[in-house]
Amino acid sequence: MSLLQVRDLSVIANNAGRDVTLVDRISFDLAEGEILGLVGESGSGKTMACRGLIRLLPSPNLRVQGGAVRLAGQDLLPLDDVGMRAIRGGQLGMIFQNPSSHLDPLMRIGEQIAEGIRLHQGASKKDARRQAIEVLRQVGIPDPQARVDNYPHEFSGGMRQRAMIAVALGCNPTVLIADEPTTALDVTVQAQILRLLLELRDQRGLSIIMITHDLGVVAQTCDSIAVMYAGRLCEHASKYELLAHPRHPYTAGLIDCQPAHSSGHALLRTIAGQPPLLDALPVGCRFHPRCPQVGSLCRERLPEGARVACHYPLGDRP
Amino acid sequence: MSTRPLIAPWRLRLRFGLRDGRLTAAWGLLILLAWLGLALFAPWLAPFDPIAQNTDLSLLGPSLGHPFGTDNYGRDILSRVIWGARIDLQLAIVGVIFPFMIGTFIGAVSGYIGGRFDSVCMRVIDVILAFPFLVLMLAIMAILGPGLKSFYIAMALVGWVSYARLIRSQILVLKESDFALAAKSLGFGHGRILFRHLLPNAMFGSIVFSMSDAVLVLLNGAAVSYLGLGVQPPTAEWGTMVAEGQAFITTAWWICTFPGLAIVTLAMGFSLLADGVAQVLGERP
Amino acid sequence: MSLLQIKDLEVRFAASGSGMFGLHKQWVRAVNGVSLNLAAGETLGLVGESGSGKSTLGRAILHLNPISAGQVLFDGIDMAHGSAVDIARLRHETAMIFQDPYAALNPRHTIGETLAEVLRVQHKVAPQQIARRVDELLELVGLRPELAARKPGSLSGGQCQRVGIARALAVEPRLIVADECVAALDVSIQGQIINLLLELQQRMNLAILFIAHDLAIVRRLCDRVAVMYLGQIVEEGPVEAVFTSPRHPYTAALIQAIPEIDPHRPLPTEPLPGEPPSPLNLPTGCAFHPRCRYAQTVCSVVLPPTHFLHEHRYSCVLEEPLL
Repeated sequence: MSLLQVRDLSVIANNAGRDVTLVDRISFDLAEGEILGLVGESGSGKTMACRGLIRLLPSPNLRVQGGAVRLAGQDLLPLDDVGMRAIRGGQLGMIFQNPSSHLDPLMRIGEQIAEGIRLHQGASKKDARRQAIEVLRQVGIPDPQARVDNYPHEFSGGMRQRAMIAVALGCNPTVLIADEPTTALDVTVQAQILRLLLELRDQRGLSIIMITHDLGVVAQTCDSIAVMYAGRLCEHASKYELLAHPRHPYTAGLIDCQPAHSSGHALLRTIAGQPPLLDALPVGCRFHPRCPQVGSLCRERLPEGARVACHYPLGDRP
Repeated sequence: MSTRPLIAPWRLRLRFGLRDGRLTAAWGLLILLAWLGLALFAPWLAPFDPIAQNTDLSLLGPSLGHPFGTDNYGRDILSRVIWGARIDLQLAIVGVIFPFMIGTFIGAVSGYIGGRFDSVCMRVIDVILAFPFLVLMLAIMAILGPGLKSFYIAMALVGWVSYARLIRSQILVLKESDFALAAKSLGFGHGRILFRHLLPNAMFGSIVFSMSDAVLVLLNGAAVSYLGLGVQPPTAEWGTMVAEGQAFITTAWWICTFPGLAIVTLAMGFSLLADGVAQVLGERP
Repeated sequence: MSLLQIKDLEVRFAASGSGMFGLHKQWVRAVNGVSLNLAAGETLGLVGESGSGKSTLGRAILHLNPISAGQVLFDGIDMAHGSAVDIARLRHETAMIFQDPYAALNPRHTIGETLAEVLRVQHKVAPQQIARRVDELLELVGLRPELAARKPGSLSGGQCQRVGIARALAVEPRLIVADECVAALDVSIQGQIINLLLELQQRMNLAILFIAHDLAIVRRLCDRVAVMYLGQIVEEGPVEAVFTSPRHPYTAALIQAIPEIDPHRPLPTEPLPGEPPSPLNLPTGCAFHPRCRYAQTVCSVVLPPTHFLHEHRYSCVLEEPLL
């Protein structure tokens, strides 16, 4: 059985008395040691889905609705705040795009890691510090014995991202949610951090949900890919299958958009138009106004499906 | 699928929160407009002459004839409160406008030019801030002589510093912004960049501040009048009335209570408006 | 003759908080002896990591940053020591496009006001023609003229970036400096903006300095590419030559680190270690040597020689192609 099961999870925002659905009934599974890439453009709901999953919603007018989130068999949705706090930072770790704003600038790196270890494992101060040094070593910080007493501003950008991963790893999570972990970094440092995440998966059997807008990043690191568009999950498959044979026209469009490989001044292929506003969604399939192979059903009914949510998936037609 | 909302109670709070901003501003505006109406139509609304003395009627308690009672010279307090609105509204508005304009200009130019000019401006502001506000005002008014005009001059000389600091800090941030750089790259002149592009984006904070500042000016005006340097008797002004009534606080409480309440309601009007505007404007940049 | 010639350009800043009373000023050498040429109608990509000085260089070219030493010749006139008249001419013939499409527009002005202001201040068209020209500009960048009445806050990021481009085009420039102008946009919108730039560039014979960290886009859009590391150009040449046979180890590492959407291509097993050092105290010799896996003892002592192969140049002791 998979480690994490998400079923029909929705995140709803209340905007001046009106409900706007940011994430609409998404379901997916995450196996032990699997890296799942959650891909989408800004506003597609990929971050909100994960924030809803661990109930770290950034504003009080957001709420989680429906379904189930089962972590190792335990349903997390009925848990209250106290119960959820034990899960977050315990079995569920999270890292963010911008380490500078998610590390406490006035607290030593070691203390920030040890704080979680002591809180969740009840370790002694000395023991927690020893573990903090060990975690720093694992995330590839050179000379961890000395670095453990540094403040975040004494670290470079890439080192800070490593430190934030160390804070998340301190409590031995089984699932790590990484929200755009390399977007703020340079390409050469990005490669280092992605390699580190792969190594952590191999050594600890860590499961990772990697939220990103960069198909290149998921192609190189993830096992499976889930694509989100306008709050809906539109396609979910192994990376080989999805990248080689995309079945949703949006996925195919995203892959075609990548400027990589060819050069010369040929025009790039693009997806026409703009993503819809979430409070003014089109009827039927949310992608249909931009879809090159739109059919009559698309304008009427919202497509469902776990592998691909499309009325006329690619490769199906005669 | 269950539709049980998990964080439902927040919804209610939020909805009231949003309406609150506009509601607060509306209440503030209503109070201010009410006072403005009273001030404008004072000659028709006030039942008696505010400065006519009649010792036969001195120190009468609130009654149907004199709802707010009379003072030791037999003047009708209600009429004096209504007439006083003219002076006190003027006090609050004029006492804010000049510091606002001077401070905005100096702060904007100082922040935009930077360098030595900015340092000089900042040191001047530090010097002014080193003195207690009221002490400095009283010193200036003692030189200029008592009266409303010298109150306004003293306010302008002392009050601009807060606006200058507010605007300057905003300009310092905004002049590094992309749209300022864009304006420069398009060959726009400094005046255009500062006054058409930066300043309108820097004003929000000081506009909100000016409304709460009006409250302070009002209280300052009252304090200065109380000390005998502001509005001169027998002109009806709330601060002076409170001061005069002080001697009778145990025997005739109404003399200082009603003008005091007038000050409080006007101050409340300004501060409700400030809060409301801040909330409403804060929603969208 | 080149439209733009940059010769040994240096830009230094005093580091903030340097010493007590600013007595011991430390200098950040953001741009450190850069020479580049850009011909009319040519697109030059300028790539490098954050802190490499590429944005500073772009701004110095447009005289938006003070220049410490060297020359920037626009149309043969040195703008680094240019008079107010020269600078005014530069402003009339160059424009800039920014990374953050929202931050680059005044949030309180409508799109129409923003465009009209440029036309009015620069006297590009007669006053009665302004409204018509605003509509033309909006159509040129693929926006409906009705949007002129809207403010940036009610537009999407892609639309705002189109407005930014329209504003640049209002100048009728010969040179555009585009600073990371698609980095903040979503992939599907990125492509639209790049296509727009490609079309406009061909139609109007624009010279574009395209500053970016995304090498794939540079390869697609540019004729030539210059790779910048710690304020210096380490390699420069035609896009195909540089991408297929990079000569500088840094360029090679950058190219290898591009995440490509090929699931069978694994992550580099040994990514380039470390991060760029602070430009406050540059390493001696070759600035890249502390991170370079081909570094020799000589690299830490002397500046590497610059090699020229046709139009391709690079500064490294190595002589053979790397990929």
